[in-house]
Amino acid sequence: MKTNSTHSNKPLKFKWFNVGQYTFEKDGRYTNHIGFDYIREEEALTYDALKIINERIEDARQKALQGKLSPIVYYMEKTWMDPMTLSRFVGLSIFTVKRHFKPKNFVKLKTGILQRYADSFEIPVEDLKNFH
Amino acid sequence: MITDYKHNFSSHCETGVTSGLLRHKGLDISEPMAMGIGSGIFFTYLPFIKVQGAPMVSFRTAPTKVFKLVTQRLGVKTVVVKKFKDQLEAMDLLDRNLKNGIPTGCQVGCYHLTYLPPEMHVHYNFHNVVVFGKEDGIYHVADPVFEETQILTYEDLLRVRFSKGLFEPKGKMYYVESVTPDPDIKKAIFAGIKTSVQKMIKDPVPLLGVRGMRILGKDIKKWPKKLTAQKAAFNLIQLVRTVEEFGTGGAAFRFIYGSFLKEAGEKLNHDILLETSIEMGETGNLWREFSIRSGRFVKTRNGSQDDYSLLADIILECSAKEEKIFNKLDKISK
Repeated sequence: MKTNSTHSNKPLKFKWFNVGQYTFEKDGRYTNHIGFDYIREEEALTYDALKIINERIEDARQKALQGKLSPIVYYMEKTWMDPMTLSRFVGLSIFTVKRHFKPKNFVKLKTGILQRYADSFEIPVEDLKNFH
Repeated sequence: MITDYKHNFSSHCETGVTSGLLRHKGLDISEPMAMGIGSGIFFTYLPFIKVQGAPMVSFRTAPTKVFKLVTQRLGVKTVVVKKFKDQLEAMDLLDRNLKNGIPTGCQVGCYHLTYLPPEMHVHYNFHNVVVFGKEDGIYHVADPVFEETQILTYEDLLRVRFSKGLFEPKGKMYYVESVTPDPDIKKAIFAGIKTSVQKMIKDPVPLLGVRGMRILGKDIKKWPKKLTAQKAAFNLIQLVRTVEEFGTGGAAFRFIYGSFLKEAGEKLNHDILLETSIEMGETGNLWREFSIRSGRFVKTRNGSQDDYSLLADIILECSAKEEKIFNKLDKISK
């Protein structure tokens, strides 16, 4: 059973799960219980993080469509990577990866390198070649 | 076959795994105790490593360090297999262990861990789970931060054990062979405290320990000027999530560590340990206040320069308080 990229379905659905928490009581005791207590569940900061990440994904998509950035940036944001992680996935140096963010360098890339990017993002290489 | 491993629901992955594996062998070490003896309390601020664009802040030590230190200090015979070149060999060794009835701890990456909720699928390779059984090609996994045990297929487990990215796990696995029945717990506790003191206030690298907290505090004050509003907010959100949500037991391990100090103080009848346990709890409450305030600030989004410096001041206060606590612990751990 091979699962696809975990962030492929937008928008992300938020499913809460409980974690063990310790609390320091006023009388000096430590207790532990289940669930978050720094904030109410419906206000969890995860929502805000997801919102900002989705904004960034959309921003990268627009820039890629306008030709200001290469599609690599869009897929990088979409798979929740950053240049450093991506460089480890692709096996190139971080400077080379950052160079490929520019469209003029991206169009010169050979299929072998593109394939490595596509494998990291778990997409077919055609998606990188013809981005729309 | 499925071993009779008893699932140990806990707050932090690695201390949970350590405590679970030792309890399986009959050595009753609680989660806070594992945290204390393994010197699990830590702080690092690495502004040059960006995780999804936010600077890396870590409250935990290197993976499997806690397990190694706890077992060393309690005289437990363990096997830590560091890295595998061959993926199939790593899985074969795990299978052989399960056949012999040994529950085995594995370091895994979170991105492809199928049972996690989708917003936890981050490229984070420091997670630890116990694999305790195999039935019809399905692995039974005890994840300490989940209430129930989970299952993974062969491919999924192989994938998470050899996940890519920063700090790759490379199939690292570890298990307990035999335990000494009555270890010298007093010696182990003070050895644990000594290492923690070393890391928190005596490390020459300024980005570690309380000095790192001070640098982080100073940097937070600069965020609203240096960065765009979105980026500054994202940095703050990720910091608060690290403090509260990513399996720290609340307030960046401070509550677990305080709990350890209390347990140790009661066990050894040590007044200073009990005293520092209360102080540590107060510091934890301060961290919690930081999270609550940041949460409120992010929600309202009407913040200016003042809000960030107010939040930074809380961190600076925490660092001052923790320095005092660890100076006190330094005197008794010699």
